[in-house]
Amino acid sequence: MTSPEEELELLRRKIAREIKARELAESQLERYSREVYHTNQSLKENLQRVEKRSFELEFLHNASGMVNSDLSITGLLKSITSYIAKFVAANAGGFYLYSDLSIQEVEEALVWTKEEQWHHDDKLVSLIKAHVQIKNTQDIPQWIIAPLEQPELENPLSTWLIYKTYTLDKRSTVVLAFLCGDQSIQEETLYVLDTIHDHLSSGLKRRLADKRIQRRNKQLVDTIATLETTQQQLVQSEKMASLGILAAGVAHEINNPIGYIKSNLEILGEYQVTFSELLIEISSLVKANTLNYDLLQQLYEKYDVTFLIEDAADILQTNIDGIKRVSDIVKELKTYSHAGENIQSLISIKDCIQSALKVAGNALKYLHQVEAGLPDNLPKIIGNAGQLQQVFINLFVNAAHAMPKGGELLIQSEVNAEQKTLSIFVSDTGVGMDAEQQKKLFLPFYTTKPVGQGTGLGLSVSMAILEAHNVKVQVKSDVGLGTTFKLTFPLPQ
Amino acid sequence: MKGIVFVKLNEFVEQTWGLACWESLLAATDLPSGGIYTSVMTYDDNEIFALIDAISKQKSLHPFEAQKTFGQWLFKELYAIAPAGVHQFNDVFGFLRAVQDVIHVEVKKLNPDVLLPEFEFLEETDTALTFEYRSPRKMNYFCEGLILGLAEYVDQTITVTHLLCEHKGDKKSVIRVDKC
Ligand code: HEM
Ligand SMILES: Nc1ncnc2c1ncn2[C@@H]1O[C@H](COP(=O)(O)OP(=O)(O)O)[C@@H](O)[C@H]1O
Ligand SMILES: [Mg+2]
Repeated sequence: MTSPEEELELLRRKIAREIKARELAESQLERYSREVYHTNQSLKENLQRVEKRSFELEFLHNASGMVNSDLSITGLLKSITSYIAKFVAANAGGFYLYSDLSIQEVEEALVWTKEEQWHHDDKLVSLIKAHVQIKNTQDIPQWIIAPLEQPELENPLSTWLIYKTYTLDKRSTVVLAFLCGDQSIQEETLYVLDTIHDHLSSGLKRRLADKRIQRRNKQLVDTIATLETTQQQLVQSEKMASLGILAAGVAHEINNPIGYIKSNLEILGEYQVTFSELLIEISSLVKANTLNYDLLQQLYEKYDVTFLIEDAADILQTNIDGIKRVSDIVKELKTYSHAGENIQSLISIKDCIQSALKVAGNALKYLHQVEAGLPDNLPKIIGNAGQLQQVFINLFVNAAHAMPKGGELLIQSEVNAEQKTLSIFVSDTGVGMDAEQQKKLFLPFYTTKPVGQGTGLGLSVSMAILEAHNVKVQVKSDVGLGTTFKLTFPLPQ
Repeated sequence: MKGIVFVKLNEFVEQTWGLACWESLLAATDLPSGGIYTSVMTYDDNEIFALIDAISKQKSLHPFEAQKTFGQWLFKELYAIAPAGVHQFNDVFGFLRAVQDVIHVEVKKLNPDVLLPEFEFLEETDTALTFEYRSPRKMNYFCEGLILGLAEYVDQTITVTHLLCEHKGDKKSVIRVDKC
């Protein structure tokens, strides 16, 4: 057992410890409340930082939205400038182009103010420009703050000009500039504005590039248009050239009969003179009552009347033939000049071929088997039925001529749904052509046929018609075996 | 270790063995804190082990037995300061789960620097609950004491078995509580 004194001593020590513990606890409590205070403080700071950050993010978000929109360069500069002006509570703001060549995309002399929004104000703009210092067009990475020299005179509410450059290309820079009062300039705010620098910069460059591409595109389109006209002119002059060949041919072909018709007529004229003389002599003999049969025979002998009559008849026939030839050529030439007119109706190729067969029937006679097994449901094409009929007539007559001892005329079709074309094959089992002949085939007046049978214009006229119909023509021919013409028509879309 | 545990150990020793005993434990251990404990501060873990060592020497108790006895006594004290809401548990198993999920969580909120044991519940039937006790302090016998205190408190008869014990060479400590 412990004595009361000992007990007292123990209690005293215990109390001493308790007091000490209480002091410790109290100082610990003080430490805690200090900590709590600091924690609170730093929480407040954090909150402020977060608020500021979300403010920055909002700015960044809105500004990015503008950059990413499909606003034009001016549109973008306008919305960004007025947005920044509101953001920094500026009194006025604008964007200005510095360039050694003017870029039309950026509108000048515009200024934004709270009261009037965007408007033209030369005075305000020149005040801003007077304070912007751009040595060359290089990017200045940070915002520049320039004091206004005489704010009271220049713009009473503003004491500072802040501005920033955005390089567009080697030669041009856009400057965003704002007139501000004292309170609106804060390092922090400018720092926030900096966050969009890269984005805005590339947004501007992209738009400029787009513009350039558009311009280049337009140039290309123009060039293509020019090329197309040139090509048309070329085609035209090619046509003129072939017209030249044609004209020369026509001159030759027509000159020839005209020539012999002319000399024939001269001869007939001489014959007519001879006949007149003969008639005068006969008249005087009749007057003198001396004409008898023998005398008349002598006169006939003298004037060679039998020959004259026979020859005149020959000459007349030759002239009639010659004139027919000329009129044939003229007829063909007429179609030539009308080739390509009125290609607009939806027509059935099958109908066209069948009527051509009817017309050519004379030439085909009974000597040639005709196979025209075309299906009824062939797609229609757009064209001029009369002209195409003429093309087929010529092909069929040529085929008939190529098979003087008979043979087979075969007409087939083929539809290419993928390329949207309809092909017609016209084949014969005739004499065929060698490579030389195939080359000249389409030349005007090229013919191997005797006078009266061919003008040599058939295929050249056909070609003109087919070209006008955008038809591709292919020929395959083997001497002694036969010839196939393949006509490929485009089908309507 | 939180000061509350030292303050309560002091109370426990004084109540059980008298003022002089605590005095002689302090004299025997010569602790850095000088035995001046306040519940709001945190003290070196070694001080609790030194004090328990001294108790076991002076009172001829096995240190595990000392921890268990202290834990058993401590439960009602901790329970009294426990956050509101835990008092609805009147079953050992439910309460043990609440210690892990609610009580110690609340303790952690008030004292971020505390190091609390973690229980991983392995198996539970109507009558048996097995869990792994995880703590670098390896106070699984202290834990047994707290559970016994809890059982006393809710008036349930239980036995606590250390299926695995880190002090006996096992890799971990697993405790089973059986209701009788
Ligand atoms: C049956 C119920 C409980 C059990 C089994 C239990 C278990 C434990 C154990 C074993 C420790 C020692 C630390 C360690 O092992 O690392 C501990 C510490 C602690 N427990 Fe519990 N506990 C229970 C209830 C409570 C209650 C009701 C409270 C009240 C708030 C509480 C608060 C604490 C505190 C403050 C510590 C000190 C931790 C430190 O200082 O790092 N416990 N608990
Ligand atoms: N199917 C064919 N087979 C062989 N030769 C042909 C065929 N079609 C045309 N030709 C050759 O091409 C020439 C030109 O034909 P074309 O222009 O129609 O004039 P034309 O029929 O008046 O001679 C023909 O004279 C002939 O030598
Ligand atoms: Mg012909």
